[in-house]
Amino acid sequence: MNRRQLLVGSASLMILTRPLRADTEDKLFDSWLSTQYANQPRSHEGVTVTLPALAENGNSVALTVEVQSPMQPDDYIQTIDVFAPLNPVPHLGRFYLNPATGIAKVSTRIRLGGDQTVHAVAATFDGRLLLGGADIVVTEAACLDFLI
Amino acid sequence: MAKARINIPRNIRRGDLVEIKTLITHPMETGFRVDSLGVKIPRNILTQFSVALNDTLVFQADLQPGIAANPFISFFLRAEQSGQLTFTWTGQHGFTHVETRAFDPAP
Repeated sequence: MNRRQLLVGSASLMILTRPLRADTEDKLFDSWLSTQYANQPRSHEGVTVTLPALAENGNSVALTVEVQSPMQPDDYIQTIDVFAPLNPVPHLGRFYLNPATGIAKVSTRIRLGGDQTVHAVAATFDGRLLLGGADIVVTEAACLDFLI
Repeated sequence: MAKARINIPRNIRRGDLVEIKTLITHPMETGFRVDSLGVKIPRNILTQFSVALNDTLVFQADLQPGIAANPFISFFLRAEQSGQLTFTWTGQHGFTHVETRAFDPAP
């Protein structure tokens, strides 16, 4: 193989690997979602995940999840789950809300094991699921020891 | 001994949406890291954080190793009744830390 073939080959490999990785991520997320919440209606609306576009260090990344909801006794968000498919423990946490919370918005700092889409799943009091996510590029993963 | 910081805005009035910010010192050891001798450092994390206003649960969080060290958690509360807020962090190896704060929105 000459230099040109190698360059073309590696470039096409780079283009090919990204959707493949995204595919396995989505599969992981979907299987987790169906074990946690089987057969509940889902929609991709109302959930805003705020993350920096790029994190130099995956050890502590600011995350905010906000869900559009009146947060009244007859219509409120009960739980918010955060899921990072490429982490060794992908489920990062679950937040329990109720009408006293007033607004469905939580912030925390998370660890990330690499470039990925961080998902948030909000479950309403009557069992509907609202999904949202944000992409992030992580220069230095949090779990380097684990990966090596 | 863990140290906790809690920020509740001052001069709040009934009906306000109040952001409450909390932080506690804790290593949140994931169980995936190894020390300088190559021995795995055992997992040691906080597993739960809960907030009660006058014994009524108003917010709770289940935590996993993916939450960064010295967990920072912020959430909102609709200022309707005054009373005492109790913040409880619990973790592995019998870890418990409790803080209380007065919550007193002006009418």
